[in-house]
Amino acid sequence: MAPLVVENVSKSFRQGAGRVQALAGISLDVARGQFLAVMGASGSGKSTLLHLMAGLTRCDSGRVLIDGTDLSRLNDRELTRFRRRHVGLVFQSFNLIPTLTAEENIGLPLMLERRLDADDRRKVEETIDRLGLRSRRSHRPDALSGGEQQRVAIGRALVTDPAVVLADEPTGNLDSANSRAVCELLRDLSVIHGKTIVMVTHEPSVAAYAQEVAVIRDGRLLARFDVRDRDGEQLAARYQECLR
Amino acid sequence: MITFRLASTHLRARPVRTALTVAAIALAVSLVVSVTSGYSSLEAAAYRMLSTYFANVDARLTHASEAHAGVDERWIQQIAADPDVASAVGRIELSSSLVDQAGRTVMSRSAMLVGVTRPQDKRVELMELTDGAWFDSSEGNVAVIDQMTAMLLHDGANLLGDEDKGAVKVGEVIRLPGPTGDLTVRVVGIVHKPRILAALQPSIYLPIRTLQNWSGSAGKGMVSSILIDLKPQANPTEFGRRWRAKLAQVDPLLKLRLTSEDRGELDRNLGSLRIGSYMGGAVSMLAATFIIFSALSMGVSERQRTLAMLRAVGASRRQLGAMVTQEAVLLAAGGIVLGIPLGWLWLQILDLGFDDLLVAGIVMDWSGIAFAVAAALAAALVASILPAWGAMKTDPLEAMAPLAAGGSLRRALSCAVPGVLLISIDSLIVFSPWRQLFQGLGIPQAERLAREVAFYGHFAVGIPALMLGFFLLAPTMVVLVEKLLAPLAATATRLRLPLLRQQLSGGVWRSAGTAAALMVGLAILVVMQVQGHTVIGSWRIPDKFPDMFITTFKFGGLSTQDIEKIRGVEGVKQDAVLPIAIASPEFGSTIFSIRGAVVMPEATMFFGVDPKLALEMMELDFRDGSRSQAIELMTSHRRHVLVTEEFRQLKGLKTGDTITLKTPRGGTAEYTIAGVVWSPGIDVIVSMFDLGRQFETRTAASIFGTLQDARDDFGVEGVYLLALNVQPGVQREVLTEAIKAKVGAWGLQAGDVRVVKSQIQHQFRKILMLVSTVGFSAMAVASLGVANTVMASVRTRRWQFGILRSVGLTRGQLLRLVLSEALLLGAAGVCLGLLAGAVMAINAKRNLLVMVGLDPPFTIPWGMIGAGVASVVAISLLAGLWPAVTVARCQPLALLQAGRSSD
Repeated sequence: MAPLVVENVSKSFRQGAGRVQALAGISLDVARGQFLAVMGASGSGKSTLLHLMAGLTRCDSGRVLIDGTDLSRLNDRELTRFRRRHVGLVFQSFNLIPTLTAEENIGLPLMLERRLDADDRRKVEETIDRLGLRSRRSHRPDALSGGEQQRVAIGRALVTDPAVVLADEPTGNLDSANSRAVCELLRDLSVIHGKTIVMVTHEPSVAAYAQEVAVIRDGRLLARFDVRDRDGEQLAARYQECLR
Repeated sequence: MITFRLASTHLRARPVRTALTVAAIALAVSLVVSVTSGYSSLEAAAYRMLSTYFANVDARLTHASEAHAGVDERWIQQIAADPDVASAVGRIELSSSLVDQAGRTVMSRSAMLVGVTRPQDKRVELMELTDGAWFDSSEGNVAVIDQMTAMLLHDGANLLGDEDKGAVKVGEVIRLPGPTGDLTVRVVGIVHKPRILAALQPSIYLPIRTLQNWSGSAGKGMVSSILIDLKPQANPTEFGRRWRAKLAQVDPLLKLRLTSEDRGELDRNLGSLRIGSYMGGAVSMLAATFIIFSALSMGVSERQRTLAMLRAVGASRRQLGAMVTQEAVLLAAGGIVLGIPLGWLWLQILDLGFDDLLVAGIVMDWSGIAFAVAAALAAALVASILPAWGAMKTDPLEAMAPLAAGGSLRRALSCAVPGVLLISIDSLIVFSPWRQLFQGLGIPQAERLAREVAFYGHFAVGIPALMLGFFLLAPTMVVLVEKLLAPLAATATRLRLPLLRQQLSGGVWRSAGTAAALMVGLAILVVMQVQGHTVIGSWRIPDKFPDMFITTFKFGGLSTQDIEKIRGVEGVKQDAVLPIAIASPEFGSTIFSIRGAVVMPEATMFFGVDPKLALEMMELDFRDGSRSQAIELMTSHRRHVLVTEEFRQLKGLKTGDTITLKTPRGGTAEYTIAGVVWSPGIDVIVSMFDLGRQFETRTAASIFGTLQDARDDFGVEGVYLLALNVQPGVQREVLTEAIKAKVGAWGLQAGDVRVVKSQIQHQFRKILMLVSTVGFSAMAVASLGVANTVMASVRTRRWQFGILRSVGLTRGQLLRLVLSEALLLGAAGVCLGLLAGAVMAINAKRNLLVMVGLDPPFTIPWGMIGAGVASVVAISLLAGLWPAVTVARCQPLALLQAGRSSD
């Protein structure tokens, strides 16, 4: 079974006196080791989809399964624990704890679970090395560049070896060089380390690093296509074609 | 322990805020430590003084109605012969006026003449002798005086004890006015007493025989008291039982008091005062609680995104709650660590300033310190409840939002409803007709139970609920003040209103916490001042009242012949001389059961008078019955009394009802109420001449009976108090001298009640001011919170300020903008404080009626309340000055950069 399955999920929000349908019966699955980019215009429902996949909010109908676990069946406590162990989250604005060092930020999900043991420390060390942050491990976020901060955030998402890594516009706050580095990192994680990654973005140049793109409009899955051998411009053209 | 790590690093990341909050807690802890240990030091000093200056012995034999010389000294030998007794010596204690070396009578100050049996009585040697030596005989014209007496005898005008004005020295001769002529004695020693004691009661120690001989025939062979020391193995209770039985057969008015019994009573009363000292200290802790709350709220509000991210990456709600609680505990721990030494420092300063009073030195009250520690931790935990709850409710989705959502203003405002409900609890407790309710339910002792419910319910439930209620009301008050006063502040500071709008409500809970902290001090100040002034303001002297009161400490009191002689003194209106006999009977049954409060004595002051003359000279306001009816009942029938309005309020009795009073001879007497009068001014007479000193029991309300009843039922033979009217233009000093010349009465004092009333009120106001420092201390604690809040507010809006500065806002305008916020915060604190103070004052006044029957009209000291309001506003502005100046000095770019980099 695919590590991430979304089945006929709907979600609406109250806005003023009325309701807005953010997702309208969307279904998709992401295979193990796959890197999926979710694209869509502003308000298309792509972020809501990511929030549902992360268990940050609940759907009105349908279900989300991660490694076979139906998130809608978990209570808040179980969902929190599940997120901590099985979901890695990368935010647009990094969201690091400003008072902790890079190393502590990376180890945070483990520390929330328990007092770090030798195995946990090894995992943190490996993650630091994998992300090339050894020389910056003792620095606090305000002493790191934007790219370094996002790498720390990715490290935090990876340290528990989650079933899926979910990234919400991870390059939104980065310059082009750092954006490229982060995208390459995510791709490597998927290709080399077999991580299952879902990334929400509206930039074709970023989505081009993924293996597959899902296009959403008005809360529905409009199209899903391979990125293979497409550069940013070609992907943009394909994306625009889907939207037409 | 990631939560602890997150908590500690967060506090370190906000060093100024943490420091200010810790300082507020430390100040509160130090106040609790210094107040409780200061009280312990005073208590230790009181016991030291008791044992050193007031002949603290195992037992003391006195006379119930004749305190000055009512014990036949033949008892000394009999008691000394008891196998349990180690020693028994007689003493005489009398008051006397003083004449200085220039022959002037010392006004407003009498001296205590103490006749000592020497060399047997060695207790006097415990006093610090600064010059000379103690006399070693019970005879001879010698005296040992204290330092204050030495100064007064040298210069009678030196009432403040200015040492530079000189003093009588050892070897000099002094003159004491007496009934058989002046007594001339040589000073052989000078003792040093704590200044407060010496100032209150200058003392002259004389050989006991000298004093007896000089006092005339009435004093021969009589002593004021016999001081008894028991052997170590003796059982005081058994001794007391044996001798009380023996004494009762001879003279029921002889009273044997055992120190072991008195000490228990004293300990109980001091224990109540100690609880009061704890409560006083806890007030500042309440302000600290709101400061901690405010600081934690700021932390939670600022870290919404961080908290949301933590939730998103797997932190449980409990972990977030624990993190906030641990922050609170860490703040409290810091406050405790600094506060205890700070409290010790205050005590050292206190010791330096009042070493003469704190004769036993500084006594650290370890239970007070434990209380401070526990209160600080409890304050922190209580203060963390709402912020922790807020943190636990953080939605992980907020981590995804580009901007963190602020707290819900609507939710904060909805707290006003439970707030008002909580506030009303105290009013319900004190205003509910408990007595009728309990009586209706058939509960025995309904009256006692009703009073206890009102008293304990008020302090244990009502006040805490009221404070919590006002805290919940604080967000609404903050919003109201902002809406109503922001336009005024904008006009006053010449700023555009939109700049001031939502300054406080943007972070409504932190503003509410600080406003609540400011409220505590002002509310306490208001309730103490209003209550205090209401009570002293109710002392109303009737329009028609005796011109003068004369008291004497002559042995046996004034005889009928003496009174006739006084009538004949030139200037005295012959038909307006009113002898007043005073007794202090106990009530037949316990009507005031709440002894812990130290407000409910079980005895009353019985004034025996000629009813017709008394009611002619004193125009008492009859609240029940009438003047003519009262005169008729009291003159035609025995055992009829007038009672005061307070008495009626307490007992719910009316004219025609009866009360039971214990007579000294072991029986009881039923007295019928002939009328109810309202004249609290009469109590001033008792205070004026310290007549209560004649009785060893504290008294409650006053009762007016006849001279005959005072004599027959309570054994009052002597008359020590006279009320009289004088011819127009007669001077008090001249008349006093004329009366002395006629009756030879010594220790005679005369006074104008109105002057004394004003003196008593002046003293009371001074005490009130001292007690009000509790309120000002709480304000000092709150000032740290204001600084904290304004700084946090500035911090969160640096980017906004940067933009404003970029588009042309001047430094001055920015400074005024931030100061306006501090001012509005102060205004919210003032509104809450005045409202809370008003509600508390109304409830306290009602409690006064329930507890002691006093229902005076409100007296509001507007000046003092104005000073309190001004203090809160000034504190707010001063506290806001630093952040205002700091932000105003920043360059626009620095503000923009700092704003962007903040989380």
